[in-house]
Amino acid sequence: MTRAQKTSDEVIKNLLETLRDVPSRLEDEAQERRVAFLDSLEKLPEPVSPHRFWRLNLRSAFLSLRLRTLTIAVILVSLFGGGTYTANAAQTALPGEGLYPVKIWVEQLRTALTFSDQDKLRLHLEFASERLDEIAELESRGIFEIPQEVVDDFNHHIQEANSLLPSNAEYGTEIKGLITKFDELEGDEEEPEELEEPGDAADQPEIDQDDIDEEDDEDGSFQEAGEDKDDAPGESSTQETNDPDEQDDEHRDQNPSPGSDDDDGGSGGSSREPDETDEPDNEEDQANDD
Amino acid sequence: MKQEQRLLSDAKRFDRAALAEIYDLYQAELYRYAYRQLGDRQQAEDCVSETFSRFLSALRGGKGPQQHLRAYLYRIAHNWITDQFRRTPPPEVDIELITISNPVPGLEDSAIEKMNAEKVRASLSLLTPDQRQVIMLKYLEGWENDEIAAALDKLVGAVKSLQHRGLAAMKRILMKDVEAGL
Repeated sequence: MTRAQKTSDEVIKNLLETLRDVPSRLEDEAQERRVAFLDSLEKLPEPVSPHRFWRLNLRSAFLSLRLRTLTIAVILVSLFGGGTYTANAAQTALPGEGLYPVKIWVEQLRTALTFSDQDKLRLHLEFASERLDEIAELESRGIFEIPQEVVDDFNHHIQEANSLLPSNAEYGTEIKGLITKFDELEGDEEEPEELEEPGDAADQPEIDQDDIDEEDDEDGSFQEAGEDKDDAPGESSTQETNDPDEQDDEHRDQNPSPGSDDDDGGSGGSSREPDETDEPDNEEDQANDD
Repeated sequence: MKQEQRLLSDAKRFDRAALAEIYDLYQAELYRYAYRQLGDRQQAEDCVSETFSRFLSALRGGKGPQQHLRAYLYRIAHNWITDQFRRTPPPEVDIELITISNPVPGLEDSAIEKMNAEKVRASLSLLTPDQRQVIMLKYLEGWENDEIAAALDKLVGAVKSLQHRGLAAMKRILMKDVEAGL
């Protein structure tokens, strides 16, 4: 990292400090919420004795072996020996780097081991987003020509996601957002002009509103804020069931969810709780090289 | 960590006292975490309530974390906040910070800081969910990389990568002012 990069990192960190102070909570409101939570405890089953609890859970713990993550870990270890180290390094690999093919291969493996359409769609969105991150990272390193393999892979994931869209229409906005971001990044293939030194405020030309509008979203990191405000993937996920297979999980960008008890649900479920499979000791994480 | 594990074990047995203790232990920091991103008291309270509601739902369904309870709760909160951004995108804010080179005459320092905080919050909302969570947990919540990895269910290497990309994205969003050397 150059000194300039370190300096600008520090500037961003200082800017983040403007968010540190939080106004005091309204005591009545906080207390009311606490009481509501305590009241909700009454709807829980009766407490289970420790002994009985462990007997009941031992069997299900044995059965939920997280087969998919074990499979991936075994394959990695058998192929590469130092599976954990390799997986860790591959996860951050960029196009052109030695471990990048490993990263792509793990993504393909995860897709192959995912069964529900919704989970496959989420994986494709995750991987498409990862391609955008890679492009942005390359740009930050001064590489503005997008490797064709990245373009092809991005298009592949978008096409796959689109093909799964009819039964998962709530993801339409997200797909559009990714396409927009990709188009913006493609447009950045020329090296940006050097920024002018800021002058005195009095020297600044008057800014036309159209110029400001055109500047919006010129960098690929902008997320679609949601052109279609009706599209609320989170809403559909506020379901009564807590079954992760039945819940909208568009934020699950780490782990697939095959829909079984050993579902490595991943932590991305926006409107559901991450389940037990979303944990860092999940062996699938070893292969989660995104 | 031992306390957390004990509480989690008891919570899974539906021990009321343990569940109440978990609520009291984490509700304030979750509120701060939510407020820093949402900038709204009511929404922050809703986030806390919904986080614990979903936690209880998970326990009722025989699910929930095996360990790393705190990280698990933060993940729920993060997911809820991300949902909020999708359902109700934050109001458009002129991202350009108020600086020496871009002053707004007549504003007091406290007002400037508040307005810039909104702009920084707006820029955070434009990051990917994972980038935003890493940036928040690292720089505002003070978590170590291994704790963040637990919260995101990722490897530490991926956390570092997200940190770098998140900062780079914020730099691009706020670039003019960063270059001016605030």
